[in-house]
Amino acid sequence: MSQVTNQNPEQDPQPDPVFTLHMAAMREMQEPRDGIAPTPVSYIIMCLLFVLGGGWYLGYYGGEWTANGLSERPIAGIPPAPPPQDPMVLGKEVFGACLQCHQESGLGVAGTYPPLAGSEYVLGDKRRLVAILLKGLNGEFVVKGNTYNSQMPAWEIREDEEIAAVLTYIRNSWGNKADAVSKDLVTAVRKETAGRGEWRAATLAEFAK
Amino acid sequence: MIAQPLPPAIGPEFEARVEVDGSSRAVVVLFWGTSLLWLTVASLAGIISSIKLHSPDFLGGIEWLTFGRIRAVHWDTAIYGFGGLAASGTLLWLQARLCQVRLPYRNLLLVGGVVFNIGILLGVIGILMGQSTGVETLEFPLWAMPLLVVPYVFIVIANFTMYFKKVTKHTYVSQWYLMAVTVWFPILVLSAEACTNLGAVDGVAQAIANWWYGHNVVGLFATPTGIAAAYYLIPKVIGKPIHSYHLSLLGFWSNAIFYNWAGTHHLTGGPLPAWTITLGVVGSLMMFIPVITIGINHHMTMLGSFHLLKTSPTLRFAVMGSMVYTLSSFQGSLEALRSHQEVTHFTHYTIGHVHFGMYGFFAPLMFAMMYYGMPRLMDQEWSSARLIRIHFWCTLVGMLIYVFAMCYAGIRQGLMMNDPAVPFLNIVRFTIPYLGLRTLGGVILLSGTIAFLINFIRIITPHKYTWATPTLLDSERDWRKVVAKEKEQ
Repeated sequence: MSQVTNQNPEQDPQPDPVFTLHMAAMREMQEPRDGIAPTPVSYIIMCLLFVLGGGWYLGYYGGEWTANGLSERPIAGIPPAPPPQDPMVLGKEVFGACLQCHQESGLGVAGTYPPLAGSEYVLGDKRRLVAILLKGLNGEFVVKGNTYNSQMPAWEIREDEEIAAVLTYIRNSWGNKADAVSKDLVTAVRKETAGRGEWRAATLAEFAK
Repeated sequence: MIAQPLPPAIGPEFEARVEVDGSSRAVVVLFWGTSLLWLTVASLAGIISSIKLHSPDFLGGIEWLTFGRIRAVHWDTAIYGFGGLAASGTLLWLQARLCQVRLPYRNLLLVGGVVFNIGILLGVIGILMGQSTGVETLEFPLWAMPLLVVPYVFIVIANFTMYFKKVTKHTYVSQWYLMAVTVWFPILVLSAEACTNLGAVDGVAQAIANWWYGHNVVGLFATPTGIAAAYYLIPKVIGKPIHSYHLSLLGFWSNAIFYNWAGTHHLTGGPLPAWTITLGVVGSLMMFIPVITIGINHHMTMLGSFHLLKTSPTLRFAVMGSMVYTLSSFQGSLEALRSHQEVTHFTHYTIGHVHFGMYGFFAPLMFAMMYYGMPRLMDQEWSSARLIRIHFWCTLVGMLIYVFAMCYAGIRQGLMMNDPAVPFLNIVRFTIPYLGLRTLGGVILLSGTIAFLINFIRIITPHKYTWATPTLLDSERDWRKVVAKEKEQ
């Protein structure tokens, strides 16, 4: 242990009594041991209070103690149903997908995309209108006396509520005035047209007969 | 009640100690030395990630150093490289001393230490190449894990062998913690790997396993080792018994019972059943019991000996670590509360807390262990008191700057994020000066580590000239003087 070959005369300025014993054998204290100071009662009470507090927190914020109880506080009573959304507001939002072709004015693009304002298909049979939106329309098609040849995509992936809303919206904008399309009608037509492909002028006429 | 000092150790205990220290020299120096190298790597990686947060273009063109990779390298080298090796070295040295048996399987442990280092190196390269698993704290690619697990098995076996062959009759409190670590840590790693990277469970359960592990690797690996070091060093240096055996018992078992539950508080607000998070919050709150218990025990032991902080490097680091243990644990328990997390969750506050615990509590206790152990293992003294002072003040000041910057910025950030009127970009702009302060804190911490490394390299290389007395903090010792003296002769 004490293989020091050349001792330095340097002394610590004010050596502490504990460290003055600096021979190799003396530099280190005994291995530590445990004292036996008594545990204060106040400490035991503190521990009990923590355990009580923890138990209260568990009970208060336990949620439902189920796999699906995602809220830490149980919800009192039945939550009120969300208020029904105005179809004109929702419809305008959904119409964002139609803007590029039919334009914000609802007039379409002359010679390419048919107008919605004043269109007999928009204002006419609601069942046919829903069918066009769900399945799309391809090929030559006459609207307000003008012939168009373009493709209307199918919108089946949208919710029934959204389709009903956007149709209600286009039936009541740009001077159009017609009754609302109900969600139930969309559900019914979706069922009726299930499995069919996109419409052509002829197949649509037959469907709407 | 202030205990009276015990007489210094002479006679058979001293002779046994010299023999035991001699047996563990090579293994412990390997573990501690390489842990400091990994601490340097971790600090560098941390500083790079920190700079990237306020100057995003910094090293932006290098794929290997992108934030997602370098941050994972920072944390994994800090926890496994520095934490794993420093804690294992501490475990082997302390257990051998406290059992008074020679370290068994020395060659196996030496090979294990080298393999562990290679495992971390390969894991780091894997992460840098982009093979991170993406599971926090278990980012190392799966193929690197056996290189970490197998050496740890050697350490566990060595630990139990020493315990069952022990000469001393009494089992000291530090030994409880060290034994517990070697039981808990393998269970933690293996079950967490099984539940996350090996896919034993899916979805939300994976997240629970991940954070159960992420919190426990700090709480059931780093923390018990740090507490074991504090329980050993404080009474050892001041030469008094630990205040109360009963408090030691209560602290150990309450820590063992409650810590394990705390992990899920990290997932507050996530799609978990509410009761799992509530359990995590309650587990964290219950941690007040062991923390207060251990705090009382250490403080009452120190009472009447605080003047020694002026001179003893070991004691100064150990007391700093113990004090921050109490403070950072209080902070952590409160941080788990839902009402607290409404503000601080997903902010810089959490990062401040982690560094408070790791660099304010765990790291100083490991440094204290090395300051105490190395002169005994190497038979020579620390060559420079000045470098020790630099190391201490850099560690304290750097840590305080870092923690203050992150915690203050985190609270302000959280309050602003809760206010829908504040644009998000304004919040980002607000945090930038504090992120800069964090880089400054990181650089100061790294400077301290480098000062320690120089001293460490000096103590493991043989010298013709060395001090005869322990190097104390108030001495004028400077290694440059030693070099000059050596040249003279």
